[in-house]
Amino acid sequence: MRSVVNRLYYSLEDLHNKHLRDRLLELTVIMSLITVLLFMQHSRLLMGVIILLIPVAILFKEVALSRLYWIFLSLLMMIGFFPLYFTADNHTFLTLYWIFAIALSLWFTNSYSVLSYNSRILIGLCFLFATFWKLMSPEFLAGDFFLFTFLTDSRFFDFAELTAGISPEMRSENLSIFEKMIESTNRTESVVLEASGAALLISKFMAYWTVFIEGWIAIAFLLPRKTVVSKYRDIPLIIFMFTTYPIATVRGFAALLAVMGFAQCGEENKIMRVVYLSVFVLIPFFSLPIEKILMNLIVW
Amino acid sequence: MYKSILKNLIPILLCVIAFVQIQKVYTKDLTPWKGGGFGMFAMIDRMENRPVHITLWSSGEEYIVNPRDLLANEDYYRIKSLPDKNALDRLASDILEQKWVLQEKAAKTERYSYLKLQNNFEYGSLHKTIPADSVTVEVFRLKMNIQSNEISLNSIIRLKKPNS
Repeated sequence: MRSVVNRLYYSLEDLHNKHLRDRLLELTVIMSLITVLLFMQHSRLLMGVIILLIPVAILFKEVALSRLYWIFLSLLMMIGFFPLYFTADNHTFLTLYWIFAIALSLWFTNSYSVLSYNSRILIGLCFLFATFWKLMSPEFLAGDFFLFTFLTDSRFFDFAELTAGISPEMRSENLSIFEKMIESTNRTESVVLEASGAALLISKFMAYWTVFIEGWIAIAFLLPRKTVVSKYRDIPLIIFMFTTYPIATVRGFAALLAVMGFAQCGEENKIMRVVYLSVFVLIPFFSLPIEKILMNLIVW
Repeated sequence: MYKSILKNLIPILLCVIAFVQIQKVYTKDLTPWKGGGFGMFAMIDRMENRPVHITLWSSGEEYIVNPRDLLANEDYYRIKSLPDKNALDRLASDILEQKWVLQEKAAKTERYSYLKLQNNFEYGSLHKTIPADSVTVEVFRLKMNIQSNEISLNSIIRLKKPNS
């Protein structure tokens, strides 16, 4: 009698887990389609087709989980991607891998587990190579890359003003020197960008922080799931997303990491799933001039 | 075994593309920011910071041509991102085939005069065409000296093509 009850209990639990996995797979697929639609770079050639194709799958569950649909979408996006191979951003590559991973996982009976595994490894590898490049760059480790970025990349201007005290005057002076050099026909010209001691210090801190957090993500996501570092792998990824994307507003990368983070949680980690889902919903707010709002609050 | 390979197919693809990118950065001057190797935000040698200088030579005088006059966005960024000899050669041939006119009277202090494609120039027909003897196309990258914080332009590739 007891054995019958146990079997019944486990069958019900299996059914519940299967139902949960199906729901999670469906949600992951829809979040992925939204990311492709809103944030991915497409060649002009295929933009129209992709824009028509994706809403159909968002609206109809049968289409969203159809193997043929994902094969067709993968092929189409691959064709559209080839002309952009050497000019596309890295998150476009990652999005493409992710689409291939969804297409591939649908051929397995345990689709959600395969997709979950792929998302964990893809995140780990992406951060492993990102860390490799930073360690290979002497200008990055010296803090000079961030100093240069603070002075010339408009995405970092507000952050540099808030944290490193780089005034708009100092910035425009440096920017004009730099732009003159870029446009100059005098090949022997060189410039030295001027910045305060605080800016140098912040740049160095940012460099070491980035290597630390990206390296941590790479190790945590690539180590086997049973290890302690891997068990708490979501912590560095969430910290990275909240400390990086409000400053460097690469919304496509942020959206994709939120979707992949959501997928790799598996069935057991409910809290982290909610966190990733919230990040995904919050992504439009990453474009808000948070540093400017903070500066105004400080002044006020 | 078969299933395990299939399960790891996409991560393997990522690694292959990333290793090809590393090889291309070190041997073919691809910018580390592009090519799928996740080298963004690591070096100042960014595609956007790679100028393309085109000099047209006519009767011993040097003139500057804006690459944007001839290249569509995709081709322009492709040359900046991965400047190869064939692409530069095609661009040089294109420049030599076109008719160029002086964009504006050069100031005495300026070393060069700027040219504009005759077709794009409103009063092109009223201006004297500058016949091209040869053209030089050169792509530069930014280089930073971490001791002195000095930023300079370093030539990646230079191609000179005479007008046959």
